[in-house]
Amino acid sequence: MVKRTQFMYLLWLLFMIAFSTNAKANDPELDRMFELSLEKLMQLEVSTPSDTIQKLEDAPGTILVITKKQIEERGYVNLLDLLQDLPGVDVNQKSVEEWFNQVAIRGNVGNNNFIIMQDGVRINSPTGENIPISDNFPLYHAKQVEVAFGPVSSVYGADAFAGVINVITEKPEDIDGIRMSVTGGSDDYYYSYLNFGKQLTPWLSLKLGGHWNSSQNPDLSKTYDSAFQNVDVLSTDGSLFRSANMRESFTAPTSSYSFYLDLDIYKKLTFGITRSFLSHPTTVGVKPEKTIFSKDAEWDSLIETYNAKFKSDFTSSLVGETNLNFSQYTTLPATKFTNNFANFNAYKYARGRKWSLDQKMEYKVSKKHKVTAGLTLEAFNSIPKTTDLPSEYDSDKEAGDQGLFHIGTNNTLPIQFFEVDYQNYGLFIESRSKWNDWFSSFAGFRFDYDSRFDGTFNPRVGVIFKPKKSTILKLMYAEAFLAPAPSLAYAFFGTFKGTQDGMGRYESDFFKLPNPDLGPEKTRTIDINLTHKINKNFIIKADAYYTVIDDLIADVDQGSSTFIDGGIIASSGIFDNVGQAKIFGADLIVERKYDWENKTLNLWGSYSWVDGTLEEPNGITSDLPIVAKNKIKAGFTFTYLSDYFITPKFIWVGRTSHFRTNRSEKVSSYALLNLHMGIRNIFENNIAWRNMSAFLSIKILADVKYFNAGGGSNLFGTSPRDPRRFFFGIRKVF
Amino acid sequence: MKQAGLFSRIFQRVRDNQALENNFSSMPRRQRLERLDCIIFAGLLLILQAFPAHAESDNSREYTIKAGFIYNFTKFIQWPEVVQESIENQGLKFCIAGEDPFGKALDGFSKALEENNRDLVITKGVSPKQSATCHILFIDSSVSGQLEQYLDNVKEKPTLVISDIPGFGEKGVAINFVIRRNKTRFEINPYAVKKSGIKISSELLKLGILVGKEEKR
Repeated sequence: MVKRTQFMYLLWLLFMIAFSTNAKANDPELDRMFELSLEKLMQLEVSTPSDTIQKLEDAPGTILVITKKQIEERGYVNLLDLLQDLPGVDVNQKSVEEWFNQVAIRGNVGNNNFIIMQDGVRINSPTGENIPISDNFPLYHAKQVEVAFGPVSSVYGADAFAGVINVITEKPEDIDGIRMSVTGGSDDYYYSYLNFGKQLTPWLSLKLGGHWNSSQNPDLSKTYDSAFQNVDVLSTDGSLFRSANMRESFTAPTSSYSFYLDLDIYKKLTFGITRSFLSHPTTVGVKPEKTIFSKDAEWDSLIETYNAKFKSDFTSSLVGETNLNFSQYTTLPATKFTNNFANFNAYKYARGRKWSLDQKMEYKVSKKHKVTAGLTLEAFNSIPKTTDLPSEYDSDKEAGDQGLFHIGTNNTLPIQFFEVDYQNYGLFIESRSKWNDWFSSFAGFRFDYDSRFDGTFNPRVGVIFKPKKSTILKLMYAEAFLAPAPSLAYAFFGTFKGTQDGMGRYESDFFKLPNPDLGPEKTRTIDINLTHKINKNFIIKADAYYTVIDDLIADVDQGSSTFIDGGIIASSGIFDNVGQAKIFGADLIVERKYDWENKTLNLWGSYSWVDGTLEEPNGITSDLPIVAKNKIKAGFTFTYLSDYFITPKFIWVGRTSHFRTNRSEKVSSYALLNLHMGIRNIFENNIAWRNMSAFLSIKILADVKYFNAGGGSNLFGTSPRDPRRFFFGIRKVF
Repeated sequence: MKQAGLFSRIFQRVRDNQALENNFSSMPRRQRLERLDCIIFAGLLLILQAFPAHAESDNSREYTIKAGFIYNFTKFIQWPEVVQESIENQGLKFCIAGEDPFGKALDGFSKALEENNRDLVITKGVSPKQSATCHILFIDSSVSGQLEQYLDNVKEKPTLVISDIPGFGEKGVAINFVIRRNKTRFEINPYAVKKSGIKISSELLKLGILVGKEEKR
């Protein structure tokens, strides 16, 4: 239960943002404009965040927009940094081995529960794997990031379950040159990027860029010495694997890189490529008595997309867009576990591919009515995440030709690899109508037929009221589905003990086994959203939602099994659609801007409340995992002469449930203060060195020890987090 | 029982129901540091609350900036002597062809000129024929289709034609605003300027993007 004192104090912080004294209607910007020289005027940015947000006010659903300026001034390096500051979003970092960190949007936990796109092209796993969200989703090239909350399967199909995130990159003519940046920081942190864009000819434009990053990361054994004191490492049968006095040093390095390219011809035909890679330790969040810390204990994720887009203007009222896309997610062969469950040396591999053809048409029936329709044809091929492998998967061989044997079976029991082919066909239609200045409506649906299960039907309907120009009220009902990822339908992992029973069968205590009949999860949401502009610089938003998730995928015990020929499994389990979740929540957001001579102050604050229950097999009901009931996020950016800025960001997160273990135990609440500051145009008057910026970031300013929610048999339920870190970077525009 | 004060309650010990974390951290120090975060942030807000705030005007920022540019242009431009005298005596005639995108920004333009002992005479919605008497003519996108007619009427007259429509610099507009990297830039067609008899200082030419080509005789 939240301490009322702390809670009221923090709400007071939020309301301080909202209400100010001494507001005076004046036009200082006009007066300043005519005092500035031509050179100074040429440095002013033309469009501001409110311009962009204006266009999305009439869009269905709850949408937040984070602009390039905000990304720069708040110090967001990657998508996870940005998500951490958003209302209704829980971020638990470095708390689970496979996907590194855990994101929950409006109580809906799962990094695969929402779609991540770049310029409308999906860039997270095409086959729905739960993947890390970190430096593999950089923001150096973003013009803005649009986050749509809630189900959007009516347009995007599978996996637009909790929301859709679209990173919109800058146009080549806006980049108009080269941008480079280099950052160094604590614990051997290095980050660099290069971004190029140019209108090469009146009909040809090109943009491309890439980033590279590595970090040794903090030595958590020094910050949390009692958690990481040297202890014996024991195998699953209790035998000693390594004694405490022989323990290795703590290590947990990460590295990443990305690349993107867009070639646009006559603004009609676009070819695009994206590629992103992340390596993170598979020891993250694992208790030291269960794992060996090693630099090669890493999970390597690679995502690639290749896209061709063609826009056609059939008439002034009818436009079309055709998309041809190939995307692939790979858990690279070097991926390795060094925990006791994997016998301290086991490899993994996975690959998911999608070929798709999308055709979308938009027809303006009249000035007030617009209809959008689309057809999708998708073909998938997946090698689901393998069981523990004794050596690296050979990607030059077919899955069935690997010739590998289960660990602990004396090279006797061959490993079965699965390869799955399936298709999805989707059809959607949506109409939007602006009946008059104060009333709009939208209604649509999407039907998907997936060859693995029955078809799904996902409608979305809503109304938008604008009783006055300053107030917008939206009501929406939507449904969505989360397609069963092959990694869950064909989940296959466990270990053999190296012993045999009386019948000569190799013995295992536990194996997760495939369930090819696994179906989709289904969500239904009611969403109410209110935006009120007290004036152009003072906006209050509130939203409330109720979500029901049916056919939730959960663990089901199956008892003993002889699934593997020559083996006897004492206890087995599968993933099945047996759970249900009910989630209700609300967010309150305040944005305020102040202007006075040479200075601006942008304040933002949000309070989020989310509650609900998770019902699992055997009638067990628990709190929502990885979700804090109460969260406050606030910050401000103070700018002087447009060139100097400082942004403190404050986060308070209430008590959070663990992921898999007993959810009656909670991770404590915590408060964090992060600071980001910078100077633009350091050498303004020097032709060679102008357009150079510098910035300093301090994360966890007060060096608080705090914990994120984890939870699993090998994991910390309360996972230690990084201590204070410093980052310094420079950026040059050519 | 008397309730403890706010600060006393803030620093009151939290009930210890977090046994797991006790294994890993020093609880009282952690809570003090968390509260320090709150206090630092609140303190910063308090300091900034002390400054008087001003509400931003409703004018379009883009056109306020462009108005600032146009005011600055007048410092780098010289009309023929006769016209210059007319400007000194009767004011600078600023005309808008089509809809007025500047709004209240023109008030600032006018005030800035007044401080330099010049009047600004604003005429909105001028026709092509009426534009001939303007010292500065701004062509809005709402009449972009009539560009040729406006240019014909000001041909070889001391009228500085300004616009912000893509490609109009090449088509004969003397100064055309463009947006690059979200910042305002301007194209200068020196041939169009020369034909009008207006002189532009080299300082202004250096800052602009030169476009256009000389018409064949």
